[in-house]
Parts: sequence; C-alpha cells; structure tokens
Amino acid sequence: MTAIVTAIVRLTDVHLDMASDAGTVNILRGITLDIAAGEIAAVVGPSGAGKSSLMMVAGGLERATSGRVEVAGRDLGPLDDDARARLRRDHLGIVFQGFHLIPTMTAHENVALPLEFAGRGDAFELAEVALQRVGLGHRIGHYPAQLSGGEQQRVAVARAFVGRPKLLLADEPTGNLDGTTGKQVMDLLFELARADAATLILITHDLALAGRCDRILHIADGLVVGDERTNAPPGVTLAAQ
Amino acid sequence: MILALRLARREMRSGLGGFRLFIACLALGVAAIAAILSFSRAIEEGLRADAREILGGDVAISLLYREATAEQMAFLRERGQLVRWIDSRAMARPVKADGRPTLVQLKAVESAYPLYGVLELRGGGSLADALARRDGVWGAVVEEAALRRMNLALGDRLRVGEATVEVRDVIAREPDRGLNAFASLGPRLMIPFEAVIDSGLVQPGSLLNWEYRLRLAPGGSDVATITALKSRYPDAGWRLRGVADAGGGIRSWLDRLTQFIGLIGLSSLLVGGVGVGNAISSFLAGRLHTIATLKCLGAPERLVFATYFLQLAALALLGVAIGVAAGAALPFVAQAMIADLLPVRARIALYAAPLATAAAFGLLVSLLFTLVPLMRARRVPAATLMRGAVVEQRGLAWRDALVIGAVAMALAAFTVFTADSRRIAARSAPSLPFRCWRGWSWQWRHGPASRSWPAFAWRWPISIVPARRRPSSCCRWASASPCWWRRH
Ligand SMILES: Nc1ncnc2c1ncn2[C@@H]1O[C@H](COP(=O)(O)OP(=O)(O)OP(=O)(O)O)[C@@H](O)[C@H]1O
Ligand SMILES: [Mg+2]
Repeated sequence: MTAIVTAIVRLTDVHLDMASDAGTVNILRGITLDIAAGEIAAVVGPSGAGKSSLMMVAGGLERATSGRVEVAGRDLGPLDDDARARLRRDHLGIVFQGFHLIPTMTAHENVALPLEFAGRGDAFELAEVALQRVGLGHRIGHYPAQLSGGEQQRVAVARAFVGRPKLLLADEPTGNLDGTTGKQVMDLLFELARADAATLILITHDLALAGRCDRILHIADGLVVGDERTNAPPGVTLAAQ
Repeated sequence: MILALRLARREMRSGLGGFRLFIACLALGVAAIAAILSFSRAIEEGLRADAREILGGDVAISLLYREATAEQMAFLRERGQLVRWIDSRAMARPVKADGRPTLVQLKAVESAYPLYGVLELRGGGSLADALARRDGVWGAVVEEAALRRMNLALGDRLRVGEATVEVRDVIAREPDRGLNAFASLGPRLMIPFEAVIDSGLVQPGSLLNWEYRLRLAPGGSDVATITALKSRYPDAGWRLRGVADAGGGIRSWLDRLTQFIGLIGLSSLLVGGVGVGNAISSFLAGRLHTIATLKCLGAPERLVFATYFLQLAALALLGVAIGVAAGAALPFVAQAMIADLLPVRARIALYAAPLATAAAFGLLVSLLFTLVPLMRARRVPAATLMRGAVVEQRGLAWRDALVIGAVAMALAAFTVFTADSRRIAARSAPSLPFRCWRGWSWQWRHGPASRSWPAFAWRWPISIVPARRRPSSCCRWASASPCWWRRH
C-alpha cells in the first residue's frame, strides 16, 4: 500500500439549494469529503438527509449551488452538461434503486449503451461478457419487461461496470429487491468492484451492509456528521466476511 | 449519426402508438395540396395542348350586341379562314303540346364551325348533316339537359323566335365550350347560322354576341394579326384574343379553386401541425425517463436530439409519402367522375413538380412543429431520473428560437413563392397571423364543446381563408357570365 492515496471524489464545502413552493430548501449544507481511489464507502443516514442528492452532485447529474466538486481529477464546476455526460461515460457507473433500464432495448443493448456512446466497436462483445459476469448470459435478448426485478438490477449492474469505470455510485441498489435477491446483487457489486479495483460509493439503509465497506459516512440534514473507518484495510473488499 | 440511427430504430420498437394522428394529419394535408396542384397542372396542360380548340381558332374576335362590318369581315378574310356564330340566350318553345319552353344558350354557327377540333354528337354523325335543312326545316343539336328540361325527344321540333328547327342529335363534346358550362344559364342549343337569319332574332339592337374565329394561313401569327386589327380598327370595340389567351376565364377559375383548396390544405397542415406538436410533446413526455437515462449514461444532447429527430423524421416521411401517393392518385380517380364537368380535357398524369411542392410543404410544416418539443427534449436534465416530476421545463435557448424562426420564415417564403399560390399568398400572408389568431380565439370563445378536435380542425382552416376566396364566391363569380367575358 502506498501512502499517497489519490482522491477520486473530492467535495469541498458543497452546498445544494433548491427552490420549492415552500421557499428555498438547503439540501446539502457544506459537505467536505475525500473518497480515495479504490475505496468502498457506505453512505448512511436518515431519510431526507441528502444522501441521494450527494450522489447526484458527485455524479455531475446535479450542479452544486456552491463549493467545489472534483471527480477523477476534473473540476465539474466549469463543465457543461455534455462535458459532464462525457465524464460519466468515461469514468462513472451508476446503479439506482429503480433500475432505469430503457424499456425498448434488450438487456444486451442496454448494457452496450455506454460503450456505444464512447464509440467502441466491441461494445456488444463486451456487453455480452458483462452480462455473463452477472450471470445473465442466457437472457441477453430479453427486454426489461421480461426480466424479474433482481435480473433487471443485475443488468443495471452490468451496464454500470461494462466500461470498467473508476467510480461506481450505487443508490440503494437493493431497495426494490427482496432480501435474498438483494444479497445476491450486493455480493455481485462488491465482487465486481474488487475485481476491477473500482471505487464504490454505496448509499444504503442497511447497517450490516455498510459494515462490509471500508468506510461509513454518516449524513444528516445535509451535513457529514460521522466518518468512521471499519477495521478492514482500504481497497480490500469485505465481501468474504 | 449512425449511432443515433441505431438508437432511433430501437426506440421505434414501441410502435406508432400516438403517432397515428400525426401521420394522418400530415398525410391529409399533403394529399389535399398534392391533389389540387396536380389537378390544376393537368388542366393547365390541357389548356396549353388544346388552346386552339378552346379558343375556337387562332384569333378570336368578340363583339357585344353588334355585327362586324362588311369591310371588317373582308379584312379578316384576307388573313385566313373565317367562321362566325351568334351566341345568345333565347327562349326555345317546343312545338308539341307537352313540351316546356326553356331558356337556352343559343349558338348559331356557320357551316365551317368548328375550325379546330370536332364537335362530337351522340349519334356519331357529322354536325353539318345534323344541322342541314331537310323538308324545309333546319336541324338542331342540343345538350342532353335541354331534352330533359323541355321534355323533348330527338325528332321533335321547337321554335326559336320565328324559326322552327328539328332536334336531331345530342352534343357529346363541344370543343370550345370553355366555361359555358359554368357561365350559362341554360343548356346549349346549336342551330345553323342561316336559321337565325330566318328567325328574325337578328335585328338592329338585339342583344346578340357576335363571335368570329380566324384560322390563319400557314405562317400567320395571332399576335401580329391582333396588332394589325388594333391599329386598323382602333375604335372597333371588339375583344381580341390570341392562342395565349385561350381559356383565360378557365384559368382564373382554376386559380381560385387551386388557391382555395391549396390554402385549405396548407391550413389543415398547420392545424395538424399544432396537433402534431401536441402529439410529439406527449410522446416525448413519455420518453423523459429514457432521455434522462441516456444522458446519465453519457449521451450528449446532440445524440438525444438526433435520435428523436430521426424517429420523427421517419414518421413524417411516412405521412408525407402516404399523402403524396394519395394526392397523386386522387386526380386519376376524380377524372372519371368529373371529366364531363370540366371545361377542358385535363391531361391527368404524374407531374413531379406539384408532388414535390406538396411534399416540401409537409416536411417544412412537420419540421416546424417537431423542432420545439425536440429542442425541449434535448435539454431534459439527467437529474430527472431522481427528481422525477419536479423537473422544471427549461425555456428555449435563443439559438433554438432562431432556428425555429428561420424554419417558419422558410415555410412562409416557400408558400409565397410557390407558383400556384403566389398571388393569394402574397395577398393574404400579411394578414395570416391575424387570421390564425382569430381562428384560435374563436376556438377559445366557443367553450370546450367547440374545442373538440374535429370541429376545430375543420373550422380553423376555413376561418383563415379570406371570405371572398371561399368557394361560394368562386361560384358566384363563375355564374355571372358577362363578368368573365369582360375581364380581359
Ligand atoms: N427538487 C427538490 N426541490 C426541493 N427539495 C427537494 C428536491 N429534491 C429533494 N428535495 C429535498 O431534499 C432533501 C434530501 O433529499 P434526498 O433525496 O437527497 O434524501 P435521501 O437522503 O436520499 O433520502 P432517502 O433515504 O429517503 O432516499 C429531502 O428533504 C427532499 O425533500
Ligand atoms: Mg435517496
């Protein structure tokens, strides 16, 4: 382990305000944190604390009202929407609670999308490999409506991993799944992150799951209120625990 | 672009869905425009090909209520073959007791008539035979309608003024009938010129139109002849027409008809366009989630725009293709039904220009109405995935507004400069925005019931056509025969 750990996500005093009928809502109120490359971090906190918002900001899906957001060494501030999209395409994989597959495309096509955007000629071969990795090699021609929830989420995981991203964002990926299926998906996620040495930021309500990560960030009311390291060494997944 | 095409193809798997209306609107408007422009072109071609027949000669000389002088006749005869006839309204009285006296459009022709073309009779005989004097009685031929109105059969006799004639055949085609079908009050009764002399109708001051037609000697020019006539008889008071003027009345009638139907077609395209805009907006609203997902995965705005643009372009092309096909076929179908009503033999064929014009209208209109929702869709933020319904509609960027303005201008310019609608468009374009607004406000004033789509789709286009250009005014104008006569 080298002593120099490069931050893949660095937030400095990040604020996020949103206008609503009841006036401005301060969703994030000054978040500062570093996530090191290869780290597997859990984000926990009560509902409405701002966890998803934090992920949106880190993924460049939402613009911070103030503060500095750096992802993969790039300051997101001056980047326009297309540049952020390109950054996501090249460096990020995102898994949502609602799987967000495109209903008119097969599993194969859904997974190939990020590579197609990147202009990769081998998009479909790699997508097939990715689907095999999540155990869906036999369902590649199926449409999302023909797949179960767990299978859909595995397709979404394959899609997030297919481009070998440096950073994976997962927002309650098992929230819509039953316990067993959820555990399968989580195991898969940890395993893939470890295999690719990717950074994983996992939002979860499940403290047991959080305990399997290197680090647990506690968010409440738009602020980081706790940052504990589990006894697992950084960069090493605890999937085996 | 290739990627956009691939994505568009995948997105199309969800089927035509809400786009049936889009395609129908487009097809209908394009079909109307394509049909009327093709039809108009067919008549135009007919006019050109049969100009001499329609005019009745190379030069037409018309005199109102007055005969040409012997000296003028001699001058004309020097230039070629001359034929004359009298055209007038007259009362025809059947000789038999149960016949009905009827107002007819009398035409008393010299034996050389017609100089060009053939007057076709139902019975197949020649006009000269039919009109010849037999047993001291002149012959006559009539339009079918005359038999019905007067309750006559072939062989019956009737009186026109002092003359008695015998109806011998029915006119199948009168080569120079022109607009008479529309302009005359009664059916045609054709008798020999000599019979009219017998009839006592020809008296000083009788309201007869004297028509003279000249078939020029080989090498003669109608224009030169007209010029010569004008300089020789500057005060003759006659109306002179050359080959190029043939069918003038028909042309203006056709212009009006074309403009009216063309404008209806264009208006329904525009109305359809509004519906199209709505259909697309709701389609894209259903795609917000997909668009946000695409962006989340790294798709740039350009790709999102191209994907949905290609999809809509394919649908628009489908609608336009259906419209063009229907519009091209319609004149062929209509031909059989209306050939007898037409003043000329329409040269129905596939003309490229009218079809291309109609297609261009369809494409421009669909472009105009798809751009706004597309530009909105392109800017759907990826955050929509999280924020769902709370997403705010971002306004149009000024550059987008500029593009839309340019397309609208192109459409307006195209409308104005399209040959067949040039005059009317130039005249009505300045007030078009006002009339569109009036149509809309009409819709709102009349409450939700009249806001129903079919009612609106029908009334709005009509409401933007200026009242004096609606068909009733066409008919009024056509039936006032002296008007068209004097127009030139
Ligand atoms: N568009 C918006 N306008 C105003 N307020 C918003 C908007 N979106 C989210 N919020 C508010 O921001 C706060 C944080 O929302 P966020 O979704 O980040 O919470 P969370 O921590 O992910 O909660 P959960 O665990 O329930 O998913 C909430 O109080 C929410 O009501
Ligand atoms: Mg959340």
